[in-house]
Amino acid sequence: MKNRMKVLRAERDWSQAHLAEVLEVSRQTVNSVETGKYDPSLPLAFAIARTFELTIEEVFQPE
Amino acid sequence: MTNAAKRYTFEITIAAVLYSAAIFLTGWWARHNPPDTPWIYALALIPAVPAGLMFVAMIRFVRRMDELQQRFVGEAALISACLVGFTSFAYGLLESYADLPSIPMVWILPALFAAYGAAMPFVWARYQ
Repeated sequence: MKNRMKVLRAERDWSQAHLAEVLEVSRQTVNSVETGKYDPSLPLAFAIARTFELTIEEVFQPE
Repeated sequence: MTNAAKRYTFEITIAAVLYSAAIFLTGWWARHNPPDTPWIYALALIPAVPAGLMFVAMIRFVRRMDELQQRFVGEAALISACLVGFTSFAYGLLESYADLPSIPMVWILPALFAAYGAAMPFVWARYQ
């Protein structure tokens, strides 16, 4: 699944570590989701969208 | 270090110390007492109790991990189980039909941990 996490993170000047702390996951998880190597679970996807104050569809797009 | 990792380190250290003490005391007792005592069965299993506590600590730690870390552990553990299971099955056939020497079962657990450790970098690399 494609996503805009890296762009959204850069717009807010957040590091991966900061986003990981907010989401209560490891930095490894944030990196893997950003690079598309790992598709998050629904609860995590909702948490990511909520953190960016966007809808899931605005953050994640199908391949 | 996360709070979960700190708690795991504490719990596993306690279990490891208890295990080391149990191995030492069990070995000392066995060397200084005849092996035909009925207590030998209970004595031999004493080190297994702290080893069991280690497993409890590991399971609690994995439950506190995030979803991707849990996937790492799950995949590496599955690869380890398949590898060690297949190898022990194949060697069992060789023991039966080719008369190879028997390997004590006490080595299965270390083999599982070793295979898990060997598999983890490959599992981790798939998500980079």
